[in-house]
Amino acid sequence: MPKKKSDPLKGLARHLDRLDYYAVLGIPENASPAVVRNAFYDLCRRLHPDALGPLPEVLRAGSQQIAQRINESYCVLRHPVRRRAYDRALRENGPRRMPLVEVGGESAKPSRRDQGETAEGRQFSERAIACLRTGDRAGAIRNWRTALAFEPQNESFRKRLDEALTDAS
Amino acid sequence: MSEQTPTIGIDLGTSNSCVAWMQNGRATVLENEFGEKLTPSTVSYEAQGLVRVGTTAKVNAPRNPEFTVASAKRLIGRYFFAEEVAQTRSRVSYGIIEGPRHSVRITTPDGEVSVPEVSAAVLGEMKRIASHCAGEEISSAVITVPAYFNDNQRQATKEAGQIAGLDILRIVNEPTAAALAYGFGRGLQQRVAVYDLGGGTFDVSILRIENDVFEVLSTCGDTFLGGDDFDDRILDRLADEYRQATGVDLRSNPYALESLRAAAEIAKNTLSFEEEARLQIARLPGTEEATVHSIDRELSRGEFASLVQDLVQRTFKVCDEALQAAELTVRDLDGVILVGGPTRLPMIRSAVSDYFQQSPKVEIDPDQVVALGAAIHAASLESSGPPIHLLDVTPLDLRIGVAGGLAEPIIARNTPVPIQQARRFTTLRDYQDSVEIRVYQGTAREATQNELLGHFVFSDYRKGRREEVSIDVSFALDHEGIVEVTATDPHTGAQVSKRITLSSGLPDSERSARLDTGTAATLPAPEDAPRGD
Repeated sequence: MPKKKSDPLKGLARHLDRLDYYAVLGIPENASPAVVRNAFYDLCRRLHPDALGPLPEVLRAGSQQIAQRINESYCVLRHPVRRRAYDRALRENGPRRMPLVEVGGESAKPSRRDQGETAEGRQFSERAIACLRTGDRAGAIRNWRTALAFEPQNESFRKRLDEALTDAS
Repeated sequence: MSEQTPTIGIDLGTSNSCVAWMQNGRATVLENEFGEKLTPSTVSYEAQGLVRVGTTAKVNAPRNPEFTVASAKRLIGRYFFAEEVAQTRSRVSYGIIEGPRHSVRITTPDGEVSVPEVSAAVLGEMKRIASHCAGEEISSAVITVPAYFNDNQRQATKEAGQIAGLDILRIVNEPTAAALAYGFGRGLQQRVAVYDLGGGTFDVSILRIENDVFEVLSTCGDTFLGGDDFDDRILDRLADEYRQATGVDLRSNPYALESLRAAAEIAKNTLSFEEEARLQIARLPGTEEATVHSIDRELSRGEFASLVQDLVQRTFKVCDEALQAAELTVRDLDGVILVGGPTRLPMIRSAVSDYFQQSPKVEIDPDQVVALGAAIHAASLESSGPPIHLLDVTPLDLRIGVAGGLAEPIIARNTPVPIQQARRFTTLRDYQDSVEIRVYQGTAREATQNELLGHFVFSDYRKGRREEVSIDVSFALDHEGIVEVTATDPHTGAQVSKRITLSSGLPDSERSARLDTGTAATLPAPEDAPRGD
């Protein structure tokens, strides 16, 4: 797989993928709708592909990805029903990205497998997520590894460990 | 770029086009050599490769009906089998035939041309008008399209610009451009509706304007509804009356049809400022026994209103939808902006006032407002004007074809762009050796009732029983609404990307397979996918 390492904006986009939507917009979880909107407008003023002007080819994909993440965050947080579902998912340690269209009402919720199938797996994955939220990457990596020791087949745990590892490097 | 060549904004309309630029902080519409601010989007092909564009082409239309192309915008980016194409074919005098890969071609005395080539002739004329005004060659432009245009139509419009030798800075939605012309530099904090009734399309967009930010909250439209349809209602009434009197169907005679159409359009426009319009058409084909060889009658505002009543009502159903999608009511709106020539009609103005419970804004000419907005945006993109921020949405659901001939939505309409969404799929059958990824735009669950944007086959994944196969499909829309789809096997990282363009065309329908999603849907193999018709 050819990976383009030359685009620094892509690195930022990957970083945004690991933040929850509140962190992407840089607002507290109790932000009012007006605060959500103003934060979104401010980011668009600075980071919308049009605002960046003509970019060299290598930066284009990354600039699109950043704007995509900002829009996705706004799309969920501006909508009261989606925002409630997302807050619930965050509390239950679900993924930090949420599909904008539900598939048969299923995929919007984190599956049981994503959260862990054993009590120990769930417990350590929750700890790992708690670590990430406080910015403790090393702690998160340690806890994902422990969770994987209990559930070596858990794809979701492995993916999140990989993410934490690439993040740290 | 010390002395910057101005950048232009072009409103490429169904009936008329308009070009503008920004000068000294003000957007201005440019006039053609006849001193007109609107140029007919008409192209006339004559012998020896002579091509007339604009006013001269329109004036000549009744003398050259077979090779005078009007309303090419109704055909752009469409497949030949599309309903709209069939409808247009039945109503126009020029030849519309099927080209390679189900494309639409137009016949000329020197062979066939593509629809983007016809539109390119119009864009070239607008470029020429601007270059003449500037005293130097203009090379870049922002072009507007109806908000409800799908990706195929946008791509084909872009292609037309390239054929015309223009560097297309952006494709912008017409209602968004109109809102820009209305709100630019006024420090507004408003929510507005843009009611855009053009020659061939109807769009309504709801926007929030906050100083320099123009956020589209929702957009809805009907690409089958426009001022042309109003003309057609008058035309049909005249043709029916003539047939009753003489037994002759004028609609089957291209010369008579063009005369009727021209008279109908003039009468409609007259009703914008007069209570009655006179329809006079001489030298019509008769029969030996029938003596009627001309039409001469009055058309009142009342009669015209009764002819088009249902068309007007249809626009408000679309407005209902747009307001609902924006989660607003008419009372939340601070203004209503009118766009398009037909909105000059008093019956439209009063119907709009009734519906929105407020008088529409009429400070800016509804025929010029879109081009002015496009010029403002062009200047902003080139950093020669103050920065403005257009945050637009995708007008239609983006869908993937799944087993059973269905299309599942991945990105819903009215989602802000750019946006990216991914979904995990599996195969329909065990050990299936390839999947076909078909990308649709539209609002229907049935795949074939949506517009097929493109398709590709993905086979580079780890084969196995259905439950063991995972295929991640990512959909990305950029800030111009251009679609890119990527299929990846999460286990191996093998990946296929496809930028969906019109030229990706339709698949060979002999082969078809199937795709399926992880949670529910399965992707078809090429032999199982529905056909494009």
